[in-house]
Amino acid sequence: MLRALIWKEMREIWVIAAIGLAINYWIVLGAMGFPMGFSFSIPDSIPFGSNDSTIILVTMTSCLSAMILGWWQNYHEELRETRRFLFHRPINRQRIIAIKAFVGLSASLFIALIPSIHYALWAATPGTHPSPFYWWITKWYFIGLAAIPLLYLGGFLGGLFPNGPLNNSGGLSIIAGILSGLLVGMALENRMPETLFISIPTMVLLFVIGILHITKTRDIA
Amino acid sequence: MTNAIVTERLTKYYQSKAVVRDVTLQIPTGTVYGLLGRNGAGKSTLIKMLLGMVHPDRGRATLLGDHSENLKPATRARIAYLAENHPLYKWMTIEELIRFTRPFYSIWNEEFLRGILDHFALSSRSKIRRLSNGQRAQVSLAIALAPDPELLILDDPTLGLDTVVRRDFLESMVQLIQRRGRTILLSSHILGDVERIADRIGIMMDGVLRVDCPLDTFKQTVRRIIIDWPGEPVSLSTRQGVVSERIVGRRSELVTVGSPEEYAEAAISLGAITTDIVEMNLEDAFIAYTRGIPKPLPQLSQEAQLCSAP
Repeated sequence: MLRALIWKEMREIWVIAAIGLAINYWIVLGAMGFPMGFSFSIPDSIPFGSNDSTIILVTMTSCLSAMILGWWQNYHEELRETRRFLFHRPINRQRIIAIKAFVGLSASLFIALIPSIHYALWAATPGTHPSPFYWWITKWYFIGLAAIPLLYLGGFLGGLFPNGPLNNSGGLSIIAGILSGLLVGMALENRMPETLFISIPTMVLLFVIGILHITKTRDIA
Repeated sequence: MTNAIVTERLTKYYQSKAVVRDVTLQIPTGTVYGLLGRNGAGKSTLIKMLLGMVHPDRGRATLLGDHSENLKPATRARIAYLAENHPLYKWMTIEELIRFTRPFYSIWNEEFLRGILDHFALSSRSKIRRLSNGQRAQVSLAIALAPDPELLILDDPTLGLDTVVRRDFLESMVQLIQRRGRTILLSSHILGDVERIADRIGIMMDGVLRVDCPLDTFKQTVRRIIIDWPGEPVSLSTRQGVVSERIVGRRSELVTVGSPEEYAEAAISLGAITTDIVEMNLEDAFIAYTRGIPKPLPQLSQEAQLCSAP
């Protein structure tokens, strides 16, 4: 049952995930010097340094694909009315939603982490670029990827409740996701880890409560 | 006798409009219940409330003894639901849909399922998106029946099918779903479908369950009376139980609920020459009963116990 649900979710999101991953790899490989037709990296920037456009773009692509992915996972069930088929399976509804979120979130993190780790390994390899590199430089970047679950959950909630607040669009959840992602960005910019360690779990918790509440109470018309 | 479905004053509002109002219903185990009503009468909302997909604003429902708002997975496994328009994952093949659905059930009759697919000449390698509406209905039925459900809830399963496909689908369905002790709730706006398989009907109008009685009782209760008058016909439309009246020349046609002899006698006493009581088929009776008329309709279940439990 669990495998069946995971397989279904993976089949439904693989195109979005593949596009997100391909764009990230396009950016990263360009920065690594591969002939990708166009490179976004600023010459002589330090990989994972504050002026590294590569990681900014990878973060933006990852956040955007996470949000789209979360939204699409639920919205297409609404659009195609398959929710009525899915939610009549003999399994707790919250469990279905939890599995959906697990698969989508894993895919979102995969899209962000795999190219980033690849890029970091390249940067750590001596002789690949002229700038110095220390693993600790990557710390803030990887902490910053904590914004991905927030954007994903915002999109997920928006798709789950497409006639929700903000002109019956569910847009409020998506905006909440974006704002919480920006909050993470601002906290990173100001090097305020204590803010992140409190705010990220709190925001995740709020989104999870919202998702569980909507799953339990929303009518499947 | 136990009841497979019980509802008590089930009510649902959308905005301020009651789409289902105070529906109290008992469907005994083993009954084939036809839920009728025009589009927008509240049939689908009632069904969704039964299945816990729509939350009632008032009242409660139980299915197979379990509260509908909190159906346990084990109970849900005993209930098959054919949703309106047969929403299935169109990117799957039939085989993939079977492989996806099977792990959810502890009872799964694969042989029966394959038999149904063979009967409908469906290849399990076909993509759902390439199937016609009728074929999607057939796949839905096969998947719904594989876990050998005790209760089948069919929400307008023939909606959107052409006449021939509908007839074939319905005939196959009648053969396939009949099993001792199995309860079926069939919602439809195609009266012929219901007439052929239901032994009890409910008619919903504007969210209210106006009729809840055995099919035969309904047909016997709603009658047409043709009255010939010597001159200008006397209108009987204001009498309690007259649901429609049509006057053509010196003849009037009444559709009545209740004892038709009483209306015939009343007409004779008012000077009618002859009266003829005509039995109606379900479709005609339904249309006459549900056609909008400017006065309140009598409720069959309250009409001198015309409709008692079977």
